[in-house]
Amino acid sequence: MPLDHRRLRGPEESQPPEVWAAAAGAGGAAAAEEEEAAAAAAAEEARDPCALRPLFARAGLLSQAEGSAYVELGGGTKVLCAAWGPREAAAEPGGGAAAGGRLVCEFRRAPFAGRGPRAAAGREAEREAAAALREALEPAVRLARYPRARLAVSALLLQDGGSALAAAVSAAALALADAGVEMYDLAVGCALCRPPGAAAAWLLQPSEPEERRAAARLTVALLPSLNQVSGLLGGGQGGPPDSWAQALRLGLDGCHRLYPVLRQSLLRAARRRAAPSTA
Amino acid sequence: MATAFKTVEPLEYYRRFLKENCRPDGRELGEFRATTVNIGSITTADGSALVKLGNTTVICGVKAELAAPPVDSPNKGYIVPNVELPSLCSTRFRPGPPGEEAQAASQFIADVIENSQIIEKEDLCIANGKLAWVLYCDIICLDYDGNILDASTFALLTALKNVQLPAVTVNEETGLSEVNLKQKNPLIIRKHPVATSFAIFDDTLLIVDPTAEEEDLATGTVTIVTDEEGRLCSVHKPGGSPLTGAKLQDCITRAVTRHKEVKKLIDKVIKSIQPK
Amino acid sequence: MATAEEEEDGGGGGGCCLRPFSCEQGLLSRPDGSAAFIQGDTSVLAGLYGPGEVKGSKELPDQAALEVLLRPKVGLPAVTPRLGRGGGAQREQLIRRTCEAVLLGALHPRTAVTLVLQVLSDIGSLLSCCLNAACLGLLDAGLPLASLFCGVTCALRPDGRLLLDPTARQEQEARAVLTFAIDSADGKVLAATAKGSCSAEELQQCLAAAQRAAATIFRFYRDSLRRKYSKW
Repeated sequence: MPLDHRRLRGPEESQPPEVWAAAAGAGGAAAAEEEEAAAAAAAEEARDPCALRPLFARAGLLSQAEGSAYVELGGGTKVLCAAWGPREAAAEPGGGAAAGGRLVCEFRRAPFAGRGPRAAAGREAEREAAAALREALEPAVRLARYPRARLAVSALLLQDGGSALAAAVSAAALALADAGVEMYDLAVGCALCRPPGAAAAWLLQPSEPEERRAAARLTVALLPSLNQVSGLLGGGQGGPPDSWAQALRLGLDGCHRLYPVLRQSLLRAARRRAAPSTA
Repeated sequence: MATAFKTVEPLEYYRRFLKENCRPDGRELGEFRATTVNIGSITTADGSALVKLGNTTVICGVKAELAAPPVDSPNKGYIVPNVELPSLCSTRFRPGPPGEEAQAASQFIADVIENSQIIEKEDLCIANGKLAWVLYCDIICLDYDGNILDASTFALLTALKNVQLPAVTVNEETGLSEVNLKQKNPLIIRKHPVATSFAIFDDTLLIVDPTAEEEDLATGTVTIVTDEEGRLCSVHKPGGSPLTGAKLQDCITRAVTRHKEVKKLIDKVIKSIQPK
Repeated sequence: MATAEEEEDGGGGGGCCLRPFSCEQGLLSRPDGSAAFIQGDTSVLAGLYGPGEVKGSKELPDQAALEVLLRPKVGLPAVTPRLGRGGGAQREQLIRRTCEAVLLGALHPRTAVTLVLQVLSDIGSLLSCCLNAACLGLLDAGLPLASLFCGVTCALRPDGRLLLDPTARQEQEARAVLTFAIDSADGKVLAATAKGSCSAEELQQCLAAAQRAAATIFRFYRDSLRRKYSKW
């Protein structure tokens, strides 16, 4: 880790207590781990792979941002997003003035967002998520309407309970819409993962432990009213093409089911905003 | 009409209100914004608190880790506070490493911890010279509408009160430490430091709990931190308009009353999450 | 080079005096103003540039943009070299805002003023030494000021007695260390910061002692300036 002179630093090295629990009695720890795995497997069997976690969305809750949204998935994924409408952009070095506006995305993970060691995911993971976020949102925004301007979105992951990127996509789209940016459609994100095992079925909106143990992961972003896929980020062990096609279908279905919830929250925010001025 | 006046002459707009002993948001000069606190909302952290002061929102998450104690004081643990002002909370902050204000706020919080002895660092030591707790207290501003120091101090205090540390025992035979994740103990909070900030208007008027707009228009700020015994844990006046000793005393008096209000709120919230 | 001998303060009590201090102005040729301030064994060198051209993003339409850089003796400027000591950015902010309060920046809008403070040695009361060097640097550059200011550090001993201008060792032993920036117009507090905890009465005692000490320092400012200009 590079020395950061702008932050207060603690000791050179520290470990989360879980590591010590494991080191204490090797046998016991392994047993505990197995137990956990067994419990997870049992939960998996009980789980309906197509079930969506309850989603809570609220738009327009920050005072300083032009648009903002908070998305929480049942089971503990919390993402806060802020968006700023068109700003004058610094001249791009490569020219290209004729092109439309630029969408600048930022994704940050709070140091306490994950279980286990603090700040495990580094800058690299944040940058990758930011790029994925931009790709998922760009097709939804009418960038041609904002020539030589800059639109900014920043997402902050407060707690990672799985499907974080998907939640961030939904939250960012809501925030942009809340900022009054012209858009073709909302982008809705949905995550899936496939547990290890040949015959394992894809699970919709995995929780953090499911995600950690998964053999393959997929995040889909969909523009539901246009029925276009705007973003796709997959990884892990390959599988037969059919399996992935099925995953995509399942994911798109999930997005369609989430869409009304997001629309509702946007409508509520608009109504809240209109109420004081008319009263 | 009023909005146009405010845009063109913001300072004059404020002066008109202050002359009538009130502020544009309807508060009196010595009145705080509505303060709310939500404890334990982040389950991935060992302790957390979300504090709102009007629009200003600050979240503090504490993560506890284990490390060897510092060489020069083998009977102490660590508390590492960091304040982050991400670009999300206001347009005045750029993405990237912490700027001057965030660094100064981090140092302020570190000073408050050090000065008030909120936690005795000896309490964090598990085995002398071998093992100690490190409490990483990350304070992130979510919505920046002024008075970040008060909100951060409050969030830190309530988050620390929320911390549950797993029990650690050192095995006599092997000398290894064993962590029992099932058995959790709260931290011992020795002091309750509470910050009260003031903005100085036109070199003379003191207004409490300034919003971001008021901070920008003000000619200086003062932050006083007191504990429950009325002792000063920090007097922070980073430049700005000069104040007389008597005015400083007024600030301290107000800070002591504020401490009582905040303490009451903390006690209420702590009680509400411990069903008995 | 101007020096002032250790002066016993009227308040009595063995600790209520300042270490011998001295200053030298205009010792650097490149900056627009410079000053070294030596307080006991603590010394700080200030270099001041400006008013000069300002970089785009820092430009202020109605006043000069002041920037303060505090360079430690060794290493990079950091929040803290180790936990619990120093505080680079916070000190820079405090010094900057103190200077801003006295500098008539509105006379030089859309310009930049840069103040570089180089710590030469730190044997206690560093912040007050920085403040004094900063004020003399501003004076040497001939920038228009509303008033002068000086820094006074005050330590509260465990036995409750006051000690002005403590050394590093005395700072460590002290229950609380308070630093004030006092303005010359009517002895008001421009800046205050404290390490350790104290009661409100103790704060007022320290402030009163600091204000008395400030009078001595201002007299010294005056004498050293008079000496400087009498050479011409």
